[in-house]
Amino acid sequence: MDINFLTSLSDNIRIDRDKCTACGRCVEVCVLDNLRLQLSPCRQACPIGMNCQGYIRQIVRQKNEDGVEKIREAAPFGGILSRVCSRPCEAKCNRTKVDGHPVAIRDLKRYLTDTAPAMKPPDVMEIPKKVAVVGAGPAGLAAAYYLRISGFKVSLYDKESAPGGLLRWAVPEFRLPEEVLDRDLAILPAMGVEFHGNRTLGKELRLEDLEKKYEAVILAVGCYGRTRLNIPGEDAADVFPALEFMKRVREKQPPQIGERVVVVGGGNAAVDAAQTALRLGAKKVHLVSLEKREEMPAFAWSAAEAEEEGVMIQNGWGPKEFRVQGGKVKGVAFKKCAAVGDAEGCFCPSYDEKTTMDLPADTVILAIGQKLDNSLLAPGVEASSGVEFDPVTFQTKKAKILVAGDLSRGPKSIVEAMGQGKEAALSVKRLLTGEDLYYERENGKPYERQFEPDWNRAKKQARVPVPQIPLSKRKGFQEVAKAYSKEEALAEAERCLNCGIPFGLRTCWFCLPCEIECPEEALYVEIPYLLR
Amino acid sequence: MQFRESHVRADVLIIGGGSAGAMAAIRAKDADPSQKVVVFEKGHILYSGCIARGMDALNIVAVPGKTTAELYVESNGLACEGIMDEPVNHRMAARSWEMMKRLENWGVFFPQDKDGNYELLQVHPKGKFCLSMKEPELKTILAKRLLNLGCRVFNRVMALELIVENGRVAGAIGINVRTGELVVCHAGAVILSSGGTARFGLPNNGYLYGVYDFPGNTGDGYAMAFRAGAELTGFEYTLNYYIIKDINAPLLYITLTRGAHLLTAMDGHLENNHPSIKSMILEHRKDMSPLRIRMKHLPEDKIREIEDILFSTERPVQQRFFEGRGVNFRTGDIELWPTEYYLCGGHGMTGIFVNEKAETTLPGLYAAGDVSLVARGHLSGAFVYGEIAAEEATEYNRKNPAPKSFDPGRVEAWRADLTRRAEQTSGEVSIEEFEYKTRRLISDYCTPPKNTYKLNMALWWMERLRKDLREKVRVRGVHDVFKALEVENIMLCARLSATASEERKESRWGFWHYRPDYPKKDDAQWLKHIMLKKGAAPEEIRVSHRPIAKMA
Repeated sequence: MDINFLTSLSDNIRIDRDKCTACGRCVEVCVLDNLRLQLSPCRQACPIGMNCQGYIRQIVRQKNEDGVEKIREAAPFGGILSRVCSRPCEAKCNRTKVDGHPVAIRDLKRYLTDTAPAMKPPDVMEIPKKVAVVGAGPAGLAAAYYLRISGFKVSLYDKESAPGGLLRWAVPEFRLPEEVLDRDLAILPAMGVEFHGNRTLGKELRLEDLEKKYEAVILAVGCYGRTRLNIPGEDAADVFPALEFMKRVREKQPPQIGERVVVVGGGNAAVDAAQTALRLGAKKVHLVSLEKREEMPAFAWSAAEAEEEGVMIQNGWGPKEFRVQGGKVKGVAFKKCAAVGDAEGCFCPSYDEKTTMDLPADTVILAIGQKLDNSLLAPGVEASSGVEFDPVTFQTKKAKILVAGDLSRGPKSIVEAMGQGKEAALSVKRLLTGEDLYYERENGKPYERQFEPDWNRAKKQARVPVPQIPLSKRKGFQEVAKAYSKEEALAEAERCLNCGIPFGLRTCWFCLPCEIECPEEALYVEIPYLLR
Repeated sequence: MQFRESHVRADVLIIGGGSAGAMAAIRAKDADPSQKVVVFEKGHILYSGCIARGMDALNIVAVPGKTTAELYVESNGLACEGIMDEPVNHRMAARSWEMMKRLENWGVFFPQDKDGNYELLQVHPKGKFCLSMKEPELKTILAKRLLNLGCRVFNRVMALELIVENGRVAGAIGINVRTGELVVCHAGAVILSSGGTARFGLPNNGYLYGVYDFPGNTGDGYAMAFRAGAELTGFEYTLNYYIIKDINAPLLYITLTRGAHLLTAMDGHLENNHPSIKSMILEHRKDMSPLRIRMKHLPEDKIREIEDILFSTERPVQQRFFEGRGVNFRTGDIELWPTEYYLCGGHGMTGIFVNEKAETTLPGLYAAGDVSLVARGHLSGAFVYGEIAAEEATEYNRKNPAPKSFDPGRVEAWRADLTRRAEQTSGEVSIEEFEYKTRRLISDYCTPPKNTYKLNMALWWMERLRKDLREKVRVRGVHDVFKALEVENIMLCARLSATASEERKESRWGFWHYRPDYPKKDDAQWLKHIMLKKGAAPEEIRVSHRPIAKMA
């Protein structure tokens, strides 16, 4: 901040950092635009605008109900996110600078949502207009919820028999139990969202028909195109694409797997598949990834967990061919991968053909990534190498057709997909109520993003490990991670520095609405020193 | 910063969501629930304007059986020393009782004694018109009501310019003070209710925002009306108040009407001389300062009553101020001091000229509250004329809906201008420093004691500062742009004030328009309004006179 005439004055706004949850209400009602909010780095990283700093503060203050409120304000799917969110917040947490570990933001979310009562459907002012959402994965689910909150009649379509997308049909139950998923998703039918399963875009569902029947359509069909290796043996009977494999497990019809499983790939799907294979009875499971260990796209914590369970991770190898005998796979030949990316960072692996490795296998799972499947989209929606869309509104070239989730930019995270679904829903709301779609969406939020937290707030407390069921008990598909106990949660929450708080620009008139509106009584307006 | 625009249509556009604006919005929806009402609010509607924590009274209510509108016209005429249009004031007083009853119906609390009588106090030369109100939630009650009625409020939007098409007002261009986005509202009728110029002179507490009236009021409405060609008046009425030293919070009516004593610094008593702000300032200038309010002789229950009002309503922050100074009403005195000078239609007589239909001299443009002239109308004037403006604006829009066509030239011009301003990133002077200097010079040259030399210097300085604002001031980000726009409006008000002051070649209204070069009041020549209007040349201010309007 420039030093100016006013900033050299003392700030008369006093914040009790032990109480402030950075909700921003004071900033919102300040009549003189005097207040700004320091937005903590965790919140800056969150694609769905969750006030994680705030809910952690409420854990410390044992105001769990309000903590749950804060989670639900940002997204109704706290149970899901607290299990499988990629945690961009933790990657930026200032606590890491203190003792090398971020605050367990995600698991503190679980502590609150696990014991919270089911969400009551909020009151909705009906708008008699119909909107369709195609794809009931994270993006579509978020879009459906926010559309319904706005008052529209929402029809949610999906190619599977039940909603969830990858959350149900790919993420294994030992990470996200079905009952947790169903509990979160129950809010949608409770609010009147109509779900239509077994409807695939391009087959039972045609975009032209949807355009006629609905005022707007949000496409959130994800990224289901299968990447092919195009090497010999790829189509053998025991070589399974990862998504197919995981879906059959969820349908309770898992494929018959052998004793020696090789999983090809380095992402989360590969790790999930590897741990699933162990639970299905495999004796030896190898996970072979092109990337070096530190380059692997899979979450580091998941890869570590898989290794703990006995998965053997091998880095820097690409598949050369599948050795097949009598129609059955016998092993996988690998060649050394010299580098995964080119100078620009594009995926373009280069190999040392002379260095090879051979792994015996009776089952192979291919988790090598997904592609956009353009065949789904009707003409009129640009779909050559990706869908063109407006980065602020998520509209395609047709104003009433929007995209959200992996369909827009390729495979990304669950929370990003939800964030996009929320934005697409906001665009539809504005479109159908005649409001400008861009107003106040791009910039100008009253936030300060570069600031130093109060490092003196760092309490001496080591990171509390997330409890897990012991290795010996991980036979079936029960959830591996457990919730923090109350004592554990309180101790872990105390590690948070409560980084961001409101501050004044020295143009205060001490009229007091900020103080009155503060829900935590955390703000006090001192008479400015010059007047005191 | 691209200053991207969006457009919105309204039947009635209200600029300024404070006291008058909120009442206007409610009334507009009551008059026609189907019409689109849009409000441009520079701050946030819930608490904006002067009544963030309510006000201790409605200063003007003609209670049936107790006082009449005629008596009010007579009494206020005395207070205004004759410069007061009777019809517009009569109508306000005549509608004041039903307005007050409406507020009461909406949940606003007016204390009554055990016989059901409201508490009436005398603050005017004749008649008890001041009706006590004890409602800190006054503004939130109004804000929530207008939102529930379906008014569309654009918070953080400062109006920049009125749209004028074919000689009638047809909307306004505004800027979001956080994002820089332009909002263009096309409306059949516009109500200006953006307050006076509270940030005019500099308070002697040294704090740029430590003023008496609401500091968000920077004469935006005066400036826009002037630039659109409407007539303004009363800009020579540079006023200040005499209230609590340093904090600039009010307490006079509440304490003096309950038996408090008013002392000079030398312990002379003044409470029995019908003290008014005007007279107290004259005492102060006779070197009797600071005057003090003393309450220690009052019974405990009276003191409690006073504390209860002062510490809950209007400026409740007073409580911590007194605590900080170690002042207890039972033992110590309250120091009074003159505030900074400001321009205001509610406390004073400065404003856009309106008739008893709240019509300005521009078709389609109405004005209410401190931005308009209903001499010393205070909150009652704001509320009553907010309602009248809404009724009239609704009618006007019905007969003259907004034109379909729109010339995008003005929006383009604003975009180009704002872009230029935003490029001043390496100016050496911060906008806050610039505002301080501007207002210090206003204090030096626009305020009494006035004389031709000083008033001409005021004009000289404003011209010079206008250049500095473009050449020397640093603008980084939308926030600085918005502050620069505010100071520009303040500067225009200074020019208007200096021009009007120079024209009125007499002294009137106590010290407020005292000029030693014409030290006497001259009713023969100057019992009239001094009107200002934009001339043909860009910066020209045309002066004319207008007779005082009497009751028919």
